[in-house]
Amino acid sequence: MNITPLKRVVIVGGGTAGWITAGTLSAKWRDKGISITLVESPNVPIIGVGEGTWPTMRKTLQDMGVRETDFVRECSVAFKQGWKYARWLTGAEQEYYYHPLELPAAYHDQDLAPAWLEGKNGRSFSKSVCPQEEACEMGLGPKAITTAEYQGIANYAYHLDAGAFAEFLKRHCVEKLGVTHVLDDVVGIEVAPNDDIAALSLKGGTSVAGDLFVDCTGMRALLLGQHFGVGFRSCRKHLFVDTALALHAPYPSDDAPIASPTISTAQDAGWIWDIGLPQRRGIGYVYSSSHSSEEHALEQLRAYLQPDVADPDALEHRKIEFDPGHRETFWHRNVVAIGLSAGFLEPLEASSLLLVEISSGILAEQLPANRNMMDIVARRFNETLGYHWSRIIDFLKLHYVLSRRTEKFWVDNRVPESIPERLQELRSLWEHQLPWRHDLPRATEVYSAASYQYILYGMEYRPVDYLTYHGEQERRIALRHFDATERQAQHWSRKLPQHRELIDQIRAYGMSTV
Amino acid sequence: MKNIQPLCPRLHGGIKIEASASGDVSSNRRIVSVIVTELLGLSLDIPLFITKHPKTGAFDLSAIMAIEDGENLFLRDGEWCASQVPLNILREPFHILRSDAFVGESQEVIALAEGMVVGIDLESPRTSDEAGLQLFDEGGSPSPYLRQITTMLASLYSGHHATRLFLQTLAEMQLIAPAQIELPIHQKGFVAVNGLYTVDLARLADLDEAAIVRFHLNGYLQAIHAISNSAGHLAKLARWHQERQVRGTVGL
Repeated sequence: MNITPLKRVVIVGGGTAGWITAGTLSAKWRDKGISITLVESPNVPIIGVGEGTWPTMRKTLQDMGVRETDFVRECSVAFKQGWKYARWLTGAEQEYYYHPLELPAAYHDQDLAPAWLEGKNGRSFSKSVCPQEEACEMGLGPKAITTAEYQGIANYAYHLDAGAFAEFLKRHCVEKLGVTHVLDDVVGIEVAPNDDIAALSLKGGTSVAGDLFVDCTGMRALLLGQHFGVGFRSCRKHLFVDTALALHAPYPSDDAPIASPTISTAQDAGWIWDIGLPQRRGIGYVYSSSHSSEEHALEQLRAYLQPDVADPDALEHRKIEFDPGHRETFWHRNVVAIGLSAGFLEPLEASSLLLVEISSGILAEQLPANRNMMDIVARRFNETLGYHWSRIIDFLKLHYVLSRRTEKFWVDNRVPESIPERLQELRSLWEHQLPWRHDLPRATEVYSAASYQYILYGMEYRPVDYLTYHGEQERRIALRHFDATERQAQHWSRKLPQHRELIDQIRAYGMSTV
Repeated sequence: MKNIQPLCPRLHGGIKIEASASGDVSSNRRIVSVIVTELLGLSLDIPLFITKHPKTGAFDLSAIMAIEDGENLFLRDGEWCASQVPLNILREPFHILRSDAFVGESQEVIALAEGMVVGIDLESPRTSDEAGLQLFDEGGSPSPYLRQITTMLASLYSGHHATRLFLQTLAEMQLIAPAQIELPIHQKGFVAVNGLYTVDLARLADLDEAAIVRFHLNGYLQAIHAISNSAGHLAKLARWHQERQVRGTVGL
């Protein structure tokens, strides 16, 4: 029986997924006799549109031993405090709602929604339970220059330059974490007697042997897809968006404010993302190619840029086509896919990098001791990741089904057959019961009930009627939290610097680790 | 408003300074920046902490003189009630100025160090044309009083460099940690005090022998213990603060 211990992990692909995986594994395992090698083609450009993260990225980077100051300076980082969804509900000009990163007040104790639904305070759900929407609207950053690295006064994630991020992680992994970097093309796969992958043959004539291979080769999924033929499960019937037109737009001046939320503005056949980095904005229109021509999409994108960009026609754009969906399994034999090789959905709610963090985190925690253990770990990994992908699809779809927009794309999105079964079930439940924590039962959920609350109430979901045990005492507690939230917003407005000022200070002086 | 100008015998020959053993103690500053060489003396009475500059986040050394802004608990009826006054209070109304920070015809200045000159706040209530200590003699030469001030400013200036080096060393060796402090405040219960840092004594204990010897020889060990011990004075400040709140008076 083969009980050789697992010693060699080989990662293929040098985008953000590859380097995050390399860094996460290496930080934990390099002193424990496990070698980490990353093979990267010198000829394949990284796709590099993942410019938004979740707050989890703070811990991911910290665990790798990255200094936040270096990361902010070298990856064109700005702080992200949530999402601002504009024109998603009816399409009206000034309409928006927030999905902030701070949890609703009292989230671990009590649902404040029943008291909020009574409608006495006249404020949106997000504003009633969380001060972050106001902080974003005032242009504030989530911390002060005196706040330590990775600590926040308000919860935050990052907006970043994905290309610079991959380079930054590469340097850190190679120089600080002892990852072996091989710059060569994979031209062949050497198969072991048990059908595992034994080694990769490289163009330069050498080969790299491994016990576990991580496929981070992007959408082509060289090992899991091309070699093992693991099937792809399209979810186009749920999520129609399949094309992106992306560009970089300059600021009108060097000291223009940097937006702290990811701004997502609904359009005829999809939505436009707008991500503020210190030196530029990253903007793109993701749309359904069956609902809009490329020409019309480009027109909409330029119309969006019109108010702040002098000559939108002069900006070059990039077209990215994708089949929304994911692999049927993510770990097959001794190959696990992380990143776009595992799947890709529209960039709504920043699920892409988050799944990379979750996958590499599980891998680092559960690295199989030997080949016999691998099948057990793999089966459990597939079950978990399958669950996460389904929940992400549910959550993204939720944004569309709540809309009242009347363009064909939006009407089609509300056709019951296009709605995943489990989401449909939850919607029936929510007609007579308020969304709350037990609706998302796992200890680790990609999107918690808090996220569902922000989207649902932000898009004016209302139950038909509902049963609640909440009485006078719960109402009193809730009203106290609404007041405290308002005071907190005022306190932040005095305490927190403007977002651009904060970024400038960090670039000039750096943050300390305490 | 302050009006700080480079001190010049020709322009400011007539100015006199009201004598005060404790400098400009009229200002109710809650926190004042101190230098490493002052720590031992100040630590006898005043809580000392590492703080951060609000605009740069850089570490600084500070004497804490009150619980709330606009208060100075070491000041009672105009008297300074501690055995030593922080130099940054004592030096008032004089300042250290960068000589390239002002443009003017080649005027006479009082040099302190490379590129630094003595400045004076012309709006300070302690400056006058009538009574007080003279800055220059009839010939325009610095008076003994001004020479004393110049020496103080020069040591303050060199002390800033020593302090920066000290804090940089502590930061690099990861010896700075947030101070976890809760103080009993009148009618508010226990309130967490944020923004104060101190030396992590557990990490200090882990330093190797060579580092400890180095710290001993350059006086860092002494400075660290002065900071560390002085934290206890905060409880006293909270008590004084409480007494003032209760009595509703300034004097005790």
